[in-house]
Amino acid sequence: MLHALMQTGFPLLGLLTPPSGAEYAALIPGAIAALVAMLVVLVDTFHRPGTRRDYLAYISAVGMGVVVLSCWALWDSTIDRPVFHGMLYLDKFGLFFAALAAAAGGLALLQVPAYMNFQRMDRGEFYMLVLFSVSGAIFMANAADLLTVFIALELMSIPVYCLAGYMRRDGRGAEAAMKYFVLGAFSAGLMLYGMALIYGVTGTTNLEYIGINLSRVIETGAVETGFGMIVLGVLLVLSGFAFKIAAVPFHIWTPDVYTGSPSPGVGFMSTVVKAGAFAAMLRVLFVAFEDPMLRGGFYGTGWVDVLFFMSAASMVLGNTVAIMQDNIKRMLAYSSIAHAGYILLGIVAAGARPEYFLFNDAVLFYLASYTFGTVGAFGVLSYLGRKGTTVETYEDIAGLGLKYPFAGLMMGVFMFSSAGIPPTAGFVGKLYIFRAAVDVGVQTGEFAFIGLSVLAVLTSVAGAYYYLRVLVCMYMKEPTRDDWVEASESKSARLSLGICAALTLALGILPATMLELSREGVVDFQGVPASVREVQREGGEQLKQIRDAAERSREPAPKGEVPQG
Amino acid sequence: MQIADYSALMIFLVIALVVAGVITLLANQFGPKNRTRQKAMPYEAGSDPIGSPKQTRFSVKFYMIAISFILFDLETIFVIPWAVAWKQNDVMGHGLYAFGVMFVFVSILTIGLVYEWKQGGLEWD
Repeated sequence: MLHALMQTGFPLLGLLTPPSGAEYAALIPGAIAALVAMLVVLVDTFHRPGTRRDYLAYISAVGMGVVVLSCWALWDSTIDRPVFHGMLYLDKFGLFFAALAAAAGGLALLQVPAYMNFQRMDRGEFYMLVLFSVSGAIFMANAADLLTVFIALELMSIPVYCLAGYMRRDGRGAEAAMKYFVLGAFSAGLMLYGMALIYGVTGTTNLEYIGINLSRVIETGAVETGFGMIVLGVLLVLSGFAFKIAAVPFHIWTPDVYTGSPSPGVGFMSTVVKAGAFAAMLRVLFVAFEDPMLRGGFYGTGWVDVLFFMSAASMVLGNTVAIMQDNIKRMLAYSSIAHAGYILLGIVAAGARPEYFLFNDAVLFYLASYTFGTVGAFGVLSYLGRKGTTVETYEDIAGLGLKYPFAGLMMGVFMFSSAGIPPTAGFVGKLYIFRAAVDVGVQTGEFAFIGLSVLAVLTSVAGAYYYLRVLVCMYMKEPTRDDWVEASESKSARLSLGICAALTLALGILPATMLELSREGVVDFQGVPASVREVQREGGEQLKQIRDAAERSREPAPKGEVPQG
Repeated sequence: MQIADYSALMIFLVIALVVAGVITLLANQFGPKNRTRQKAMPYEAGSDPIGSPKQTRFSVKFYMIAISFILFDLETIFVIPWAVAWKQNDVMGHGLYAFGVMFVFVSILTIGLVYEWKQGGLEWD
């Protein structure tokens, strides 16, 4: 860092001066999440033994709501350079992910009281762990430096390792925590090694300087000596991210960890952890590794090609193996691998050439649609249960759809969304991802992209089988045992499920707002090289035109309606 | 730096492995062996062992001490350089800022301490 600053003529004194007041805005969402977590620690410390801890869920949910509001308030205060001496960005891209992480965290925590009541494991640690992890995910989405990426990654992961082992009396919980921790520590180590190699070549950890220095190293033909190091570094960093998002060669831990972890925690770790890792991955790929030599695709072999095969393998493996599962949590684990494949497909399409950068908005939209559907699906699993256990297998939920109409309806919405069936968010998300890939294929004449999207469509058809099997079990089978399972009384769980379902349907029926937000997030993505910035400017103008057109069409207000300011 | 530059290191590594392996093998094959009961016993500083290690359970309470130690150890490691450099900070006019940053850090750690205390992490029993 210091070396890089001196290299680029940055005044050394700048490092010794405190950051200006305006820069602290970049900290606000993550800091609020951390403050809420510490507040929950303190409140739980003085908890009266023998009473229930539901209020912690409300405190956390309100806190997460404040984080979302702070993102909304900061939406237009982008700073066009990394703040805190090149450590964090403040842009709409980061805020989009911060709001998403906070919303998913809050919704997952609202389901916790129901789950804890069934499992008889009412402890405050669950809330603290999730909240600390949310703050890590937020910082990860805003990171502008490999060090920030790594520290935020650990802040996000370590609480989740503990969360996996939360059911400490359950052997599977211990297994999950152990596997997740050992493999996670190993992959973090690999990633750090990759970062060290990148630092060795470029002499800096700042993403933008890495981008500049890597291009210079490659251009000046110093490639001979350093290229092996660069390739190894890029691959190791990618493998670290691939572990967190559970993409295929690094997916082995997913089914076991998801099966052994508490259901609301799985809903959290399969969405927020994934979103945080995807955000940081986009930052690293499009800011630091944007050189055409590293990008590959049409110029040679690069990360686009690596992600291409990871995407194809994730979609095929996730969707086919999920068919054979009997445990719903395990099935959803494989389905989350498949979803990672779809999201990677969007990144591959957007990364193919600098001018397709704006296709990343499909990735953002897909992550939003996936998040609410998945948190909701795990919420239903924690909403149904009995003393000491919650539902897990297809057998457990047989016949429950008619017995508990609310749970059945909710599960229906989430499963339809995950399968990508029209009036839900999952359909629109898949549509935009596949359209991005097909557009890129048509525009470049590269049939691989069209082939990959055909594969994606075919695998998602296979996916419909196991998602709908859940509904078949719930509605068309007789209950295996009478009164085995009951629905929770918890109002907060019902509220959370309702919000998830409402958002899933809203994103499916009226996707325009979310699409606009994700487009704005991509247009406002900071730190990209000049070629992409041009594309962003055009995208911004298009967005403005669309908004103006919408404004104009709204002006002659229909009868009885007040025109909105 | 080419890979070939490391060839001396690789040769050294191979020789070291071979020499160590051969010596161990020779000692194992040709060394005199006369086992006695005394020799087969686990070494416990010269005294006779009391019971088998397989059945003896020992307390893992020490791990709490270890974790608390890490907490305060890290705190010390951060505070000492800060305290040493505080004078320079003050001269440059950032004294209060530096104080505030460390205050935030220490108060976060204090919350951890309060949590540990109330959870009974500082009790021995």
